[in-house]
Amino acid sequence: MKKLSIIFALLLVIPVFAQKSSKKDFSAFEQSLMNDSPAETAAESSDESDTTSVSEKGSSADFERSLMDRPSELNEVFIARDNLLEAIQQKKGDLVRIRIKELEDLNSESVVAIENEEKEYAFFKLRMFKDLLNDLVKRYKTAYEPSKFNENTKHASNSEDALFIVVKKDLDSRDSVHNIYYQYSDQIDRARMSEQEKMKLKLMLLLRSAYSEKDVMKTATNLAKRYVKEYPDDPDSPWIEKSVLGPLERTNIYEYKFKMRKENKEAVVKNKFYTGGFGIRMGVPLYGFGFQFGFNDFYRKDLFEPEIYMIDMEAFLQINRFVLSLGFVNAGLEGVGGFGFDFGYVLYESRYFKVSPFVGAAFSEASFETKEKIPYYGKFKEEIVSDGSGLNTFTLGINGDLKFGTPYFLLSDEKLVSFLLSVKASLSYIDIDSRYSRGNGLVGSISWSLGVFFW
Amino acid sequence: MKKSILFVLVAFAAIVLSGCSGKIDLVMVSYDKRKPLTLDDKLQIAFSNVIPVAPENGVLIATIKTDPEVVCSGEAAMNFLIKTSRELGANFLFVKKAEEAKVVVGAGVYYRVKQCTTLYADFMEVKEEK
Repeated sequence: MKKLSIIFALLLVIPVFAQKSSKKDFSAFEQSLMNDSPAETAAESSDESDTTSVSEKGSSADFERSLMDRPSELNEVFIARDNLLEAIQQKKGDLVRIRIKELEDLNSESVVAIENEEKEYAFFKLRMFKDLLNDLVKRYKTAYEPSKFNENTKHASNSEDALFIVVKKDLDSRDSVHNIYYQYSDQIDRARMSEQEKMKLKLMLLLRSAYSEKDVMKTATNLAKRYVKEYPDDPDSPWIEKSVLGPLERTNIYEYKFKMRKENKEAVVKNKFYTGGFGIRMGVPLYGFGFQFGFNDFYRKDLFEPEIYMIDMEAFLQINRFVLSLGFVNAGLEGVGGFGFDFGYVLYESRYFKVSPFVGAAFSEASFETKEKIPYYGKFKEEIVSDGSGLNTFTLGINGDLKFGTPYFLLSDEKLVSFLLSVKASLSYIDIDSRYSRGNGLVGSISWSLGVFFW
Repeated sequence: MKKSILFVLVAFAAIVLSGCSGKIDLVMVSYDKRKPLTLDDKLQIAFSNVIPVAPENGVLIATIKTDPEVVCSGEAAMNFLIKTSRELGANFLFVKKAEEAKVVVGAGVYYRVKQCTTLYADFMEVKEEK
């Protein structure tokens, strides 16, 4: 009899308890075990005025199935996730912070207990912008650190629990065209944060679409520049400058190219020593500074006036340290000049100087102007006569270049052009045996020239 | 004789200046000599849509914008980046941006318009933490 009265009493109490109990009194996990979709419950409890629900039969069935599929070893994780959702719905910021920390502590090699999107959802929902900022900075700064996760790590969110469904619904409802910052900009502006924190948060949020949206990239770049300039003492400023602003600025590759051209100039120049290039020189021999042996009477001075080759012209190609030079050169003997070639070796090269000894040979011709009519040669007065005798000049010398200006070549950031003031000292053995002249001997000469060198 | 000298000058100029048109799209930042990566060396690739920041401990070697007239498809551009990265001795490739554009490609009288991808990337050296 006593037993019957207790059962009766219980039967009376249970319906009362069931009626009085609101869904809010259950955890999200417990609610998920009821008929209602947890998303529906969550939506209801998180915002009383929000009457929207996700009570589609399909998703509800999927959710129920997901509960069956939950790995039992992750129960602790799922309970913590339910607790987080409950804390979000109750709008308890401090509790949310604790719950997120609990879940982060549960992250291990075998399971990702909480996803970044889920944390963000909580922070946005409860306007916890400082927490969001700290989380984003930490996430980006440690993004390349070795991860504890691997390809076998399970994601708790894959079980599509209540938290997952609520977050997914939120993500689906977001404006996919514009950066999320613009959705929350008014609230961030009103948040109790310093201007510095607001600026940094804006930058961190804009980053996610900075490389896909042109306007966002421009805004993010300017914002990063401003931040680094206005808050140089912030410990994160060097990181923002190097890892955020740097890559953003470098997408404007032409502007960056010219910036780097300037910064790298000396390194580029230094890097190109002894690499080679192409150049030309034009100049005049300094006859007064030379000497000659064996050419006192190599032509008839009563009949001919030596024609002075006023301009030497040569082109040279340098490959590494080796130089091949071709041109119209004067060995230092008045009236004698011709096509010659040199092989040189760059002994020393610096920012301003280059010294290269060389050996060469030339097909020199003797050229004269007749002083009077010479019937023997069939020449009239003031007629130019010239004649050569094959490869007749052999030279040993040294060339010194002063590179007095070295800008970049046109738009290149690696090719240079140097303007040269060159001095060449040479000792040549010349053997002339032509119709109008004959003689052999040594000629020492110095010549100077102006040149240009592309390298 | 003088004509032959002129010819030599022009030929030299043509050879050298042809190399001066320059790879306008590759900007070298570091000129330290680095050995190219071997096939055994690991090359890390990161995409800005996953991580929109460069690694803090990375040393920037160069930055590039691929030329769609040279490598048109996204796959070809990506392969070009990987090849260049290995040549430069950069063990970290940060692919930042992809742009789609129509490009006229062809030779002689045969031309056609193709949809091509331009990739923007940074080549870096990241020392592995021990």
